Amino acid sequence: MRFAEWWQGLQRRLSRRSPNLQLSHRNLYIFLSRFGVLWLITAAALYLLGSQAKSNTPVLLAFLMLSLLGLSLFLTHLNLQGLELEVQSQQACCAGELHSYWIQVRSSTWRPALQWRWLSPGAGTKQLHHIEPGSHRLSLPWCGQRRGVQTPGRLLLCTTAPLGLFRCWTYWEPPEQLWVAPHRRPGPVQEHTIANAPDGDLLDTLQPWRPEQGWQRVDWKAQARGRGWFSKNFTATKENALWLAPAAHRPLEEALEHLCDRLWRELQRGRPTGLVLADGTALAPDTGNAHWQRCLKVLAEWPPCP
Amino acid sequence: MPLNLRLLKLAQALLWGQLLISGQLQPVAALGIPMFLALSLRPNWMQARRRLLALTLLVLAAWTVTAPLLERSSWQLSLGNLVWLMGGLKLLESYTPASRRRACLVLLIGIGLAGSLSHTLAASLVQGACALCCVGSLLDLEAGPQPLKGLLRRCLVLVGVMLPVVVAAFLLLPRLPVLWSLPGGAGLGQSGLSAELRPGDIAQLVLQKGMAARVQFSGAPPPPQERYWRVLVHRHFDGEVWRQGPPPAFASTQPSPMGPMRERWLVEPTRLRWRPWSGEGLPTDPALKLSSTGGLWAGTSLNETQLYGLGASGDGISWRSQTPTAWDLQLPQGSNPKLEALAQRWRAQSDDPAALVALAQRWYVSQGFRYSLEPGQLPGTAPLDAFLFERRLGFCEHFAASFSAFMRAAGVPARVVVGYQGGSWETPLAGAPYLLLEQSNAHAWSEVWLPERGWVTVDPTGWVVPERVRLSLAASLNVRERQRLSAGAPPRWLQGIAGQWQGLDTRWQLWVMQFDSIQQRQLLPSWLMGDWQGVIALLSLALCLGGGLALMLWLERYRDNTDPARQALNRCLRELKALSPEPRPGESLQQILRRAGLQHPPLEATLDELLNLYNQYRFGSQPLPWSHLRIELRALRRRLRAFGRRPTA
Repeated sequence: MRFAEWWQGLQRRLSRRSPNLQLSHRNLYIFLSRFGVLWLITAAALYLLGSQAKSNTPVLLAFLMLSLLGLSLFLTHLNLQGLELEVQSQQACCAGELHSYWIQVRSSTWRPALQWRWLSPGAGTKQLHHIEPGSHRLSLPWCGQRRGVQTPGRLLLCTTAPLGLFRCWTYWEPPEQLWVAPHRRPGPVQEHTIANAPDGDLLDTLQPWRPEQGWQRVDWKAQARGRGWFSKNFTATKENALWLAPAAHRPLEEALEHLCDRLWRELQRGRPTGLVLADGTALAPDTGNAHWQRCLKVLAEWPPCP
Repeated sequence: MPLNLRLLKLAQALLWGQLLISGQLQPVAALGIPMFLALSLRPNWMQARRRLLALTLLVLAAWTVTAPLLERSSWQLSLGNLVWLMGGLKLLESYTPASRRRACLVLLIGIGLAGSLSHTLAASLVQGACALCCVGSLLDLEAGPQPLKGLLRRCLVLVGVMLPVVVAAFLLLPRLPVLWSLPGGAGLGQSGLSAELRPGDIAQLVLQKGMAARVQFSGAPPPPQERYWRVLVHRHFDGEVWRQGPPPAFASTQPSPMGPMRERWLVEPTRLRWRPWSGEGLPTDPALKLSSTGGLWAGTSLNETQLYGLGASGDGISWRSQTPTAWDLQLPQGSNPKLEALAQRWRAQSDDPAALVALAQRWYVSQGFRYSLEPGQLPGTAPLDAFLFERRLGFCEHFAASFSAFMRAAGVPARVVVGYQGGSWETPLAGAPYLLLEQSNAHAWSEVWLPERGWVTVDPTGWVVPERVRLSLAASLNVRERQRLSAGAPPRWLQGIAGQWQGLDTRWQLWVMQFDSIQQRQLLPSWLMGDWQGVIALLSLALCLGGGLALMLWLERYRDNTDPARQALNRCLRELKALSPEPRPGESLQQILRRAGLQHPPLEATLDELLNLYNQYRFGSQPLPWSHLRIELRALRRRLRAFGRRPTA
């Protein structure tokens, strides 16, 4: 028990929790890989064979193997050293599904064989054959196991290039939070349909107002509250809007899972769908990815903490 | 099939070829390895574990049964065959990266064992290529799919920058002493003289192709008529066969050579425990001892090429002045009655040994002896009488054996020496000249005891056919035998190349393969060999490693790792760099080219063409073939360059 606590403490100390990380000798660790140990033993055996059989070929081969081992120590370390990682804004997702966690990677050189792995259980692994010089947006597969607002946990970045003799690694804990909505599971939900608005349009988003748009679309309420000048954007709808609420007499988590699934299905069909939750929280019926993200965020953190 | 697996198979095939040519493969390995390579072409086959296990057990059983039965197998050879077989089997089941890495290690051990058995330059080059394939395979396993050219380049750079470290370690690191003596086998000697002198032995030997030894001299080489290289001294004669007789005596304290090294001998594997030498000087290697009969005793047969030197002798007593014993006069009475009767008649004319030698010379010259490598079998009784008085047809050992018997019958101590005579003086473009001794230089001659001069070399073959001694064996043969001797010899132009190759091989043997702690002491200055040797070696290694790393990073910095199409585009854009300002951040190819076109209107059409071609190759519904794009981009690049070099007002 004491060892487990000590080990967890050490792991916490090793991982860097910051929005960006530049890899250097301060946060990189390197050690012989299992293959490196076998390589070393083979080189030693060849040296012994050569020196005892008075033959120089095995000795030369052993020296070559040892020199490659020595060079690999630096090359493997340099393969990660100088790499810059920066966390990006993330989208909400559902639990139990592989999701792309976006990070920005900047490299000044060509770097082969990088392996990325989340240390949280069930999370994914990504193997990159190489990274070109420059700045790249990289998606790392991540899978949330439970609903809620959470960080993805610790990321292990390791490499064994160029020969697999050494393993160089680092830990990084990106602080960017993720909204993880309930697992999508088909089931009953409460629903009711409402007729379209008389003009047949639904309010979609607010955008900064420009004089060319005229006065009709100004959001006067926001302006009156001192939030600035915004214009209202509407989208045309063909179907009747749908309101969804969690099924009554069902456990909360199960009801939310069914709600999440139904919401996803309706939005996939392009039908304007809204949410109504027990404490009166509501999201007006709408379509599009932005609306889906808003719904997921609401589902992720509902009910709100008192 | 992934490139890494193909490289491992190539390494295995190359190693198999080298081992087959150098004759080190036992039948199981010679047949098994190509069979494994063929089986590995069927990926489904190797995934059936049961089949693989059965095959492994079968191969192991075959190896266990056959390895001890082979006469020439030594422990090293048997172990090597087992490792090479295991390497082939491992490749058969290598379908994960981890198992391929382990297969690579087994192959490297196999290469090391092959290297400990064959040291020639050609074998070393093949072994080096195999090791390079292994490194390439590991690189490919890590960096994923990539073109062969790029992989080869990375592999050569990686190994190339490490060569100075290997050379520094080889030259400077103290050598590990031999901790235990490895048991030797029956010997891998391909060449060698017979321990007995029977008619026909040397005749068979001279028809063998192959090198016996190479000799380098500190000064000028001896003239052709003085090139006698002694190996065995035969003192016991039973009327038919000459043998070495009683074990020779050795000096209780071995004198050390004085002054610089006079001769350096590089001897090929042999079954004999005696080494060839000129008979002058003292060996520098304390493992070699001089016998009282003038033999150079090594004590063991030779499984691999050996290098030893001979330095100037001091004032000690030479083997030439060792007084003869009763063994040097021993002759079975009545074994060759005519020979004995003639010797007695000479004895009646003079009892001076030198005069008796002169009488024998006159007699040999006057009897019309002919030299032939096919004299036919001599009778079991009185064989020398039959040779001397009836057939008069023979070769060196008939003459040497009969002359020594004559001298003993006349009361003069005499013996037969077997070794090499002559040799061709090779002057390679690379490396110092050397004397090449081949199996065809095998020869036998006599030594007689002259009280005032000691043991003197007398070659009766030279009396009968002087060309044999002055020129070569071929010059002393008739046309038919000469053709037989030269059968299978390469054409003259190829012989020249082979000679140069042998020169390189000699240099490789002397500088690399035979480099040991003795040579290390001779090569390095004394201040380097003291207490600071380890520190200086480590500092040098660190320096070489740092230099190699810096060089590699520098090369990496200027490397274009993009795909060929992008590289071709980059080359075009490089031409444009001199004409237009640097690309702005976030600017697309189209924007860059449009801006350049606005700056240089005559280039507009060319730049439009460049953009269209590249976009069509990348995004077109009917992609442009790469060969076409390459040609077009090359032409556009020429146009851009010509525009950049145009004379400006």
